[in-house]
Amino acid sequence: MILRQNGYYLEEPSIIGGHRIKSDEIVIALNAYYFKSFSELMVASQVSRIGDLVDFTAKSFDFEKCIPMSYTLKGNQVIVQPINIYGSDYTIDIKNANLLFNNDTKKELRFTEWPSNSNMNEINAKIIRDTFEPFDCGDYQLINT
Amino acid sequence: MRKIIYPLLIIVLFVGCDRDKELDPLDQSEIKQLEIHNQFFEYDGTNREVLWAIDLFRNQPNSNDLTKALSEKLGFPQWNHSIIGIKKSVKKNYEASESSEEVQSEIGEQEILIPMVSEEGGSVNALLLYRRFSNGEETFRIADRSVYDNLTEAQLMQRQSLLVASYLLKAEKEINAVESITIGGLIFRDAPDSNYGDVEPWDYGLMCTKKWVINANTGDVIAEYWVDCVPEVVVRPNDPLSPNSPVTYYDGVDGGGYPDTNYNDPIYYDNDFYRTGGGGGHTDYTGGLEDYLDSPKDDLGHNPGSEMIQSGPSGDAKDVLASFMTLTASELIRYPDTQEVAYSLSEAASDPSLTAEELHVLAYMGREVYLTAQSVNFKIDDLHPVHQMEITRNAAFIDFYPEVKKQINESRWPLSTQEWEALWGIFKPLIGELLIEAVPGGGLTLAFKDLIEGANKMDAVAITAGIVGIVTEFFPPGKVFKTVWRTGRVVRKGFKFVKYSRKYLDEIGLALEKGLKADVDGSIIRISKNGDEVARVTNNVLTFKYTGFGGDIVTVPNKTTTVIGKWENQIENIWNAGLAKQGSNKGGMNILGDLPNGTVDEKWEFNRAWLDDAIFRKDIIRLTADPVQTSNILYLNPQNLNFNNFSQVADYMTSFGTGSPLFDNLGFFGKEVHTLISSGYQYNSLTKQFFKP
Repeated sequence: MILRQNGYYLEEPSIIGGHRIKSDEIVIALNAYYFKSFSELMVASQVSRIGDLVDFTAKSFDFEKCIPMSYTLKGNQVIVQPINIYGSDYTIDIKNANLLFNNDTKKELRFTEWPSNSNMNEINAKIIRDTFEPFDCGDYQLINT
Repeated sequence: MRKIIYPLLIIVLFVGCDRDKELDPLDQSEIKQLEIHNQFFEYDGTNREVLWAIDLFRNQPNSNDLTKALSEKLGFPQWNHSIIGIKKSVKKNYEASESSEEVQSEIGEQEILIPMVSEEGGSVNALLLYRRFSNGEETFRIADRSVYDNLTEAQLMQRQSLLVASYLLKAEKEINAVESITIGGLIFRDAPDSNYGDVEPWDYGLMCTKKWVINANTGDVIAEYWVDCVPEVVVRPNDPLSPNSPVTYYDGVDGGGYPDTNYNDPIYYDNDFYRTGGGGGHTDYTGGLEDYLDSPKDDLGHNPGSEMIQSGPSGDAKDVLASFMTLTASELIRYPDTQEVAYSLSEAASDPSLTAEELHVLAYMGREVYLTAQSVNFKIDDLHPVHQMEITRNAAFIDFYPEVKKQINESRWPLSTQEWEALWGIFKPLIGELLIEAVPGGGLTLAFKDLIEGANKMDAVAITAGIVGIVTEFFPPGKVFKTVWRTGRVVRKGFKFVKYSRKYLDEIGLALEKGLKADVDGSIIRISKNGDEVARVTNNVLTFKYTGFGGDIVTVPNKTTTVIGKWENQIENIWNAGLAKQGSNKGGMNILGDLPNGTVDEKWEFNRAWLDDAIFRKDIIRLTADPVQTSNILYLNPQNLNFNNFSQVADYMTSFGTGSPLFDNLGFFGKEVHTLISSGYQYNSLTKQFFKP
């Protein structure tokens, strides 16, 4: 199986609500996985109101801005190996080059290619919604902000 | 009469001039009185005797008061069911039939019995008795069923009682189609063989119906008697008129007599009544109309008690003052509107803890209430609202003062201005529980704040005045006197709140405002929601019932307990109960419940500042969620972190700063834990508290 490296895999977002968030606000927690090399995995995150989400860019995966981890490939699975001593290995199934499945979070990861004209990724809230909706929002409703 | 006409005139003018304008409560009350008046005299018939009686009643000087009092206590007269009797002492006339003059003198007497019923289908509560004597004098009396209900069997077996019972039965049969009635344990009904053609007292020239008196317990017929008699048509021996003659005459009455008129035994007279069994006696158990009025029939100016109250206490000794207060109470208790203040005055008079000086103040307040009420015949509604408010203040003062004095030492009064405000916050929803209307919003008025400031420098008198001020602010002026008594329970409850949970007056007020209940159970204040206890205050320590992480939250006196944890179903429940404040709250809880709008980062900035304040104050930091659980502290966990104890959490948290992406992955609670650890706090896993060594 092949992991694509000309972009990143965006994990289905988690909806955060209620916890000191007004009831009419939707906050999204979002992980993006960039398989930098054959052993380096960089995870960038955002926790933000849906209207405040910003695009992931190549810079999002700078060492200081993301969580560096390592991984190994085993068959059609990625074995993620966190560097932190309190972290535990977990696996990501490779469904195909564009679709992964995180067995730890039970969420899908979908591939987004870097734009050809720059390193900037054009992902935004619209793309998240277009990509993943409908996703489980719990008791919350997505609103256009 | 003027007293009646003026309000009516005002109503007519008011309605006539501005129909669109909503009537104020006083006008509505007068309109209600008009409705009562009209219903009281409702009559479809044309009987001129009845119409005469109605007219006579209607034109009495105190007709308005009478109709109100009687309709409230006995119901409305059923003029259409009047029992009309022409008084003629048949027996007497029969014996004295030779004297036509004497016979004629009796003819003019008449009695009309009008059943009184509270509501359609209801029992006959009384008979309104109209009587016209032969000398032209007229009177109204009341045969009150409840009076007869309370008579002994011997009293009930007296002549008048039996007659009243028979007419109550007659009225009930006609109005409610019943066959018998029970009065005072005796059942009254028509005897099975009762009819005008089968009567026993033939000797007296009467035709009557026979009644049975039955013991309600045994079912035994204990007496029978005859009433509702009509004169027998007597055809004298050797009379040229045959028994079948179309011309009849009544015994003792010359020529025709009383065609088609029933002759009813009058209730007052002791002749024309025949019976077997039963005791003797001729007691009149009917009452005068004035007995049903709230005011006394005597002229108050000649009431010795009134004169003594007018002249004030005869000395300043405690027993003299107490005796004066008792006298005032005994006068006030005679009138429905002033009974409550009478009780309060009486209790104060017998309170050994009150000094002579205090009794002096209360005695004169009671006197003032009496004299003011007397000026309107003790009908407080008739007082001008301003005067009503004045005597309400006096009356409430008399009611509250002994309790306030008792509480001052126990509860360490006086209160601070803030505590007064908090007490106001408690009174509002509590009084709302009593369904008292027109509870104003907002806090204390500036003028009242001034009063509080004064009260706190003074004594029980000023404090009582303060409480009276709070309470009387709740009510519309026109209703204040009658409704203020309903606040007594609330005020006493408020006192206990002050005594046992003084530090939490604000919280209790908020909780009540949010629909929770607060009850006093001994020295414990229980706060409950839908019947379940959510918190209690014991000895001024608040314990919030919390079944989650760490169990109940017990606050620490003189320290603020800042509560952090997960919001959903944890802290939000405490916050929504209104039992916490946001910010410093010595002895109570501090919760961040109100965050301004903004981005997640902006919210955290606010959260951080709030926590920094708690750190600066060296608050107790109590957790309601387990910080070892990563789901509690992390929003995102791409590293699949797991901790076994808090030491590992602390170790992890100290491995990165606030600029790290790892910090961004923390939830608000995780960020708070990170901040506390960074600020030198340590965690006690037993107490679930952060503390600063």
